Amino acid sequence: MDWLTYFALMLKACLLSTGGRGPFPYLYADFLSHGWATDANFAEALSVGEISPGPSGLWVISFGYLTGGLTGALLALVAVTLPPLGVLLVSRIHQKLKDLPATQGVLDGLVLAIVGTAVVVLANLFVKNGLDPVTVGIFAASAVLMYLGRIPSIFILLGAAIAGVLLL
Amino acid sequence: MVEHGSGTKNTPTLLQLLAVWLKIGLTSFGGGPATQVLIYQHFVTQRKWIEPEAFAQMWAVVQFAPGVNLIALAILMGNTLAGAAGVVVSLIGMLLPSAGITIIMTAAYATVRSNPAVQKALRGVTPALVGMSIVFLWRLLKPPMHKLQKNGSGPVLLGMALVLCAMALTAFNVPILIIYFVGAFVLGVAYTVWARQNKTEAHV
Repeated sequence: MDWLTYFALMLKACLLSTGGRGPFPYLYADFLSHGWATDANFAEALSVGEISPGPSGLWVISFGYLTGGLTGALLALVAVTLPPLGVLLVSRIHQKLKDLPATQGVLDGLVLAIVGTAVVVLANLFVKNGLDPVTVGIFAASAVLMYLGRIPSIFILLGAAIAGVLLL
Repeated sequence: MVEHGSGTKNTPTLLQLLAVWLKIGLTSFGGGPATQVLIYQHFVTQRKWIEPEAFAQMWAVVQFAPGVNLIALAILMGNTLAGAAGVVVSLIGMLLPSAGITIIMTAAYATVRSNPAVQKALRGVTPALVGMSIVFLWRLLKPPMHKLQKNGSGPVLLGMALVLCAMALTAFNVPILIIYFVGAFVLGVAYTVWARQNKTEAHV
């Protein structure tokens, strides 16, 4: 394993994104092309991140463990911890920049691009996992339950796991 | 670094700060949503170390920061309450237990992953993750689309075109950074132009 490249790709994914799911498209493109991860690794790590304590973004640490063992997990921990330190700089310039039309536009444009990219990556993950009535049903039910917002995501995942064991 | 002690009523000692973060890092099972609720409860509701308005302001700033928002929030809160030492203590307190448990859970999973039932469970969980993420993306998309709507139907079409463009570029394996840059650049220019137009119209 080329740990320097491994760490650099992790750091890039965390630095050039925002939010817990932000690194996902980067890691999906880079780690699959290096042959360091499988589609299943992403579902596995994202699930652990939703269940374990701490930010959902810690799924990157789980992903590090699955792809690079304890070394991978510790490198992921560093890669996840460093970029948010940028908030100290951001909080200084936030007041000056937040009302500029260009700033608003850049952030909104970023969101639109993030959504478009993520939809395609998610569709890839979904199709490779297997398209059949059961998986489509689980997808639809989870989306509706998440939209209604009454059930914590941890229970939605649990229900989906049980449905998978019983029906697939 | 940033304004010290602003937006705070009581100031905790470093040890108190560490203890609270450790508690959150150990008990916030359920990922980001659970963690966010516990942070608010401990820091704002129970101990009143941070006022609700200051918390809301920090949450807004955090959206502009690179990386995981909740880690940035911990950094910002630590800095506000106790400066650089507060940042270190908050990061250690929140991340050491939660990262440790995340690794242990992953390791435990790795030992049972070849089990056929576990494989089926994972095949069931994957579409659920996708479904939940789609709702998350939908919520992310709404605020900018509302803003575009206020500027008329042209801007709404531009917004939808940008999403479709990002989808097509991703499907053709264009580097993600380039796709993000296109989206940011196009709306950055567009917002500036619309702001100037609005100004001149207001003057007429």
